[in-house]
Amino acid sequence: MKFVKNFFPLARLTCVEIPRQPALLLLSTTLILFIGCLPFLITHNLGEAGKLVRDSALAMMFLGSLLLAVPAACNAVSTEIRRGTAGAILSKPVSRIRFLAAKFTGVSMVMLVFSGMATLAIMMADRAAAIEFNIGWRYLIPLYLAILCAYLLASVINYFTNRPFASTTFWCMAGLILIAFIWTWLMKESPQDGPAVIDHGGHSHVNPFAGEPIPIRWSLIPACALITLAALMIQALALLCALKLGVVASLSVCSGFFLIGLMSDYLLAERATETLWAKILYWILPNWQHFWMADALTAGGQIPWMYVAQASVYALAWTAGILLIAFGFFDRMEVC
Amino acid sequence: MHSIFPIYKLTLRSILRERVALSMLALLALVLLLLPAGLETDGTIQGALRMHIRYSLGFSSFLVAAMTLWVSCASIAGDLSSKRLQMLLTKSVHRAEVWWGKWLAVVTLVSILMLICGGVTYLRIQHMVKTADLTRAEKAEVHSQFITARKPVDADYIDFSDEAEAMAEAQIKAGAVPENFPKEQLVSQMEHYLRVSQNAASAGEFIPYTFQLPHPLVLGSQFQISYEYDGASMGNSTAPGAWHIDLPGKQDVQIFETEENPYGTKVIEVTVDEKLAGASNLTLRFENRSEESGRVFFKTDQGVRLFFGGGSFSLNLFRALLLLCGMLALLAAIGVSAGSVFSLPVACYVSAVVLLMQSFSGTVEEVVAAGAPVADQEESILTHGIKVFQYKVFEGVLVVLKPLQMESPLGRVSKGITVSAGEMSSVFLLRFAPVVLLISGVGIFLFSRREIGAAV
Amino acid sequence: MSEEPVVYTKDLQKIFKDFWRRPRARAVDGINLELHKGEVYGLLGPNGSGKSTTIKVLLGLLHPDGGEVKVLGKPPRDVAVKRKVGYLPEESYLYPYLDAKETLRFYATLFGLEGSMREKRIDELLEMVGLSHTGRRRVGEFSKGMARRIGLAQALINDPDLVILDEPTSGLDPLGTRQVKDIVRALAEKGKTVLLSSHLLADVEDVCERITILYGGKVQASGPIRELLQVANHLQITLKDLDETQRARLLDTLEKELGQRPALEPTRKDLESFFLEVVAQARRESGEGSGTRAEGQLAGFLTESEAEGQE
Repeated sequence: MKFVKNFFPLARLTCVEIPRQPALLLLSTTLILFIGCLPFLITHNLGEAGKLVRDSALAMMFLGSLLLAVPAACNAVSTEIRRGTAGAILSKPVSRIRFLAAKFTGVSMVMLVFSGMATLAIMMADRAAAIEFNIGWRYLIPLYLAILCAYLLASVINYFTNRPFASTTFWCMAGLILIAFIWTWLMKESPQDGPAVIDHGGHSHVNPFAGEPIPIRWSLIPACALITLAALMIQALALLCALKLGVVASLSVCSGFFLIGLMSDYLLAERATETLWAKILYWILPNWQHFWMADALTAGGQIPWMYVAQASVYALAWTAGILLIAFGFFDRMEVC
Repeated sequence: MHSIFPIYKLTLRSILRERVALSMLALLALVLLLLPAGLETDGTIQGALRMHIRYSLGFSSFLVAAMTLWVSCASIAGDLSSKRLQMLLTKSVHRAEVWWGKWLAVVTLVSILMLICGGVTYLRIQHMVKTADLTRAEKAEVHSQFITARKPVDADYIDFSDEAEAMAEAQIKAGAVPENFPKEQLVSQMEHYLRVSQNAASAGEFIPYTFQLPHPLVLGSQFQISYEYDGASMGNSTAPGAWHIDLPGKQDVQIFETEENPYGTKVIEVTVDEKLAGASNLTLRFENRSEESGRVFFKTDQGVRLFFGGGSFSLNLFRALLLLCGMLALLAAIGVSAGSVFSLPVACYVSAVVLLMQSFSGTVEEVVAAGAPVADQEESILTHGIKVFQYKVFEGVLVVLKPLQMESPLGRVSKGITVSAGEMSSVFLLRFAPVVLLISGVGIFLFSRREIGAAV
Repeated sequence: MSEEPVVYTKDLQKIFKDFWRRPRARAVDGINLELHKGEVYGLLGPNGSGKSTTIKVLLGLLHPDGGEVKVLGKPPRDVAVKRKVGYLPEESYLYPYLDAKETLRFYATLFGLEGSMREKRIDELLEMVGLSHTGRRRVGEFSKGMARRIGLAQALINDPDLVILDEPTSGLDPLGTRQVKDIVRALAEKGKTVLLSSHLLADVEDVCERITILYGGKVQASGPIRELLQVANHLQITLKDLDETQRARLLDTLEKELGQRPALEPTRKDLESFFLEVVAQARRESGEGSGTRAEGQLAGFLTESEAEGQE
C-alpha cells in the first residue's frame, strides 16, 4: 500500500509532464497526420495501395515510437537528474527503484496513448486505401478534423484557462481521434463507397466494396499491439540510456539497437546454430521480426491472439531484464 | 567579424568534449559495418559495390544529415536554454557572428564525419575488389565500369513539341478527348507517346541516336556504348539486335551484334579505329534483328549514352562527398536558423520536417508534374475540391523544396559516372551559397529581434 | 554632474506577454535611473521586483516596451556599447567543458584581445579572484562560489567602464563576499561605474552610495544611502575606554541636562568582521591559504588602464 501511495503520484506527474513538451506534441501530430496522408500519398503513384499504406503506416508507428520514447525517457530521467529535481525527490522517503519504476510507468502511459492514436489512424487510413485508385475521403476527413479540432479546442482552453497548450492538445487529440474512429465505424447509411468501376490509366478496376461500407480491418489491432510491445522494449532501453546519457547519445544507442534488432535474423540466426556466442547474442538482442506482422496481414489477414500473448511474454521478459539492469545501475549511481 | 573564430572553436570544442561527435561516430560505424552484412545483393561484385555506395554510404549520409540537424539546432537553442547565450550576448558580439561561428563549427564536424564514412567505404570497396574471386577480364570490367569516373555524353535531344501539339489538335477535333480536359496535359501525353515510340524498334526497324562528342575521337582510345532496356514486347527471352556506328556520310563504320535478355543496362566497349578517329559526332543505330513481331524499348530518359575516359574513382567519390557536405551545410543553415528562433525540441522538429519533406520531394514533384486534377463528372464537388487543394499544397511545397532538391551524387558514383568539378562548383556557387546566405539572412534577422532571458 | 550619465533610463517599461500577446506581467513600470561615472549604485528589491529585468534591458537582451534607455550615451542594443560593459549574471552560466583559463581566453577573444596582453589579463584576473591554482579543472566541476569568482573575472576581462553585477555575492563565503566588496570599491575608486543588484542588504549598504528600491516593477525609494537610512531625531555618540565611574557620571549629567536617562550599551562588532578576524587569525597560525589567496585588490591591468585613461 505504501508502495502504491508513493508510486502513483510520481507516475502521474511523469504522465502529465511529458506531453507538455511541444516537440512531443508536434512529433505525434506529424506521425498521426502522416499516417492519415499515406492513402493519398501512395495511391497517386502505385497500385497495391492497401498493402503499401498498411506497411508504411505500421513502419511509421514503429519508427515514431522510437523517436518519441527516447526524448520522453530523457525528459523523465536525465533532465530531472541534471536539473536536480530527481535529487529533490530522492531526498524524500522515495526509494530509487520506486522512482525509476514510476518514471517508466509514466512514460509507458504516454506511449500507450500515442500507440492507441496511431492504431486508430492506421485503421482509418487502411479503410481509406482499401479500394485501388480511389481514396476513401470519408474515413480520412474525420481524422483530419479530429486533429484540427484538438488544436482549436486546446487553443480556446488555453486562452480562457491558461492550461498548458501542448498537453491539452495531446489529450484532446487522443479523445477526438477515438470519437472520429467511432463515427466512421458507425457510418452505415452511405449508399456506396466509390463508383462501381474505377478508371485508372485506361484500365478499369471493379470496386469490390461498391454499395457497402468498407469493413474495418480489426486484425490491425493485434499487429499494432505487437508494435506497442516492441515500443515498450525500446522505452526500457531508452530509460536505461537516459540514466547516464543525453538525448543524442541515447537516441544513437537506441537507434543502434533498433538496427541490430531489425537485422538480427540476418546477422545471427544461422550462426546461432553453430557458435555459442552467436546463440547468446541472438537471445539477448531484441528481435523486431517477432513484432512485425505486416506481411502476415497481407498473406493471411489474421494474427492469432495466442501469438500476441507469446510475444508479450518475450517483450515483458526483455523489458524486465533491462529494467533490472537500470534499477541496479541507478541504485549505485550518484545523484546530485 | 573577429568573434566568429572564437565562437567556432568553442562550439567545436564543446561538441567534441560532450562526446556528441563520438556517439555519432559510433552509430555511423555500426551502420557502415552492419548494414552491408544485412542487405541482400544479387551475388555479383558489381551488385555488392553498388550496395556499398548507394545504400550503405547513402544511409550513412542520411544519418549524418539527421545528426546535422540535431547538432545545428542545439548549437544556438542549447546555449539559449542553458542561458550561456545570455552571457555571450552581453559581450561585444554581433548576433550574426554567433550564427556564422556556430554554423561553421557544425559544417566542419559533419563534413569530417561524412568524409570518414566515404573513406571507410572507399577502403572497403578496394578490399572487396582485391579479395574477390574474379578472372582478369572480370576485374578489368569492374574497373572500367564501376571503379572509375566516366564522362557521359547524351544523345541529341529531339523536340517533339510541334508534332505533339498537332496530334493533340487532331485528337480534339476528332472529339476523342473529354471537353474539359486541359490541352497542355494532352500535349504532354502526346509528347510522351512520341518519345516512347522514338525509343522503340519493331522487328527489322532501326532507332537512331546522334551524339555530339566533346572532343574528336583519338585513334586507339576507347569509349563505351551504354544502353538501358525498358523491356520488350516479344515472346522470346532474348532480343537479337545490332548497334551500328555511323559517321556523317559513312554508314556502318563498326557493327556490334547483340543477343541478350532485354532488361537492365548493358555496355559495349568500343576501340577507336582508323575510320572512327577524328570524328567529332556520330550516330548510333540500334537494329531490331528479331524475326518475331514485337518491339524492343529503351529508356526514354538517358537510355542510350556514350561514356568517355576513365577518371579517378577516388577523386570522383571525393567530389560526390563534397557535394553531400554542401547539402549538409545547407541543412545546418536551416538547423542553426531554426535553433535561433525556436526552442531546441521545436527547432529539431521543424528542421526534421524539412528533411522529411525533402526526401519526399520526388513524390511531390511527380504529383505536380502530372498536372492539375481534372473534374470528373462522377466525382462530387467536395472530392474534386480536396484534390485541387492537395495539388495546390503540393505545388506550394515544391516551391519551398526546390532549392533543397538534389539528386544524390552517390547514384552516379556507384555507376562509375563522373561528378564533374564544373558541376560541383556551379552547384556550390549557384545553389548552396545563395540558399545558405538567404537562410542565414532570415535566421540572423529573426535572431537579432529575439529577446534573450525573458522570464517564463 | 554635467557630464552625460553612464546609465540613463526614463519611464522604463517592460511588460511580459503571453502567447496571445495579452499582458501577463508588468515587470518594470516607469523606472527612472541615472548613474554617473565612478559611482556604485545599488538596485534592491525582493524576488520578482524587476531588478534582473531592468538589468537585462540595460544589457540589450530584453527590449523595452516604453520609455527611454541609454547606456554610455547609446541605445543598449548597440554592440559598440558592449565593448565597455562587464556583466555578471545572477548565476554564472559557464561552458562546463572549459577550464578557468580557457573560459577567460574565450571571452577575451570576443573583445579582440590577443597574445601576451590577453594572457597577462587572464593571469591577473585569476589571481584577483583567487582561482589561479585551479589548473585544468573544468568549470563544470567548480563549486558555486568558484563559479561566481570566474563569473566576476569574465565580467572584468574587457576592462569595462560600466560593471553590472547581478547578485555578485550569492554563493560566496564571507571571505569571498568581502573580497568582492573590496573589488567593487576599488573599481569605483578607479572611476568605473558599478551597478549592483542584490537582496543582501548588508552588502549593498557597505559599498553603494546611492540605491533604488524596487517593488512590483516600480521604484519605491531612491536616493543616497546615508539620507535614506538616516533616522530623524535619533543621535548616536561613540566613546572609547570609559570606566564605571565615568559612565555613571556621564549618565547622571545627561539625565540632568535632557530630562531622560539614555540607554548605554557596549558597541558590538558585526558578524562579518568577527568571522573575518577569526579566519585571518587561523590562517596566520596554520600558515596556509584557503585556496583563494586574493585580498580584494584589483587586477593590475584594471589599475593601469585607468591611469592611462587619466593621462
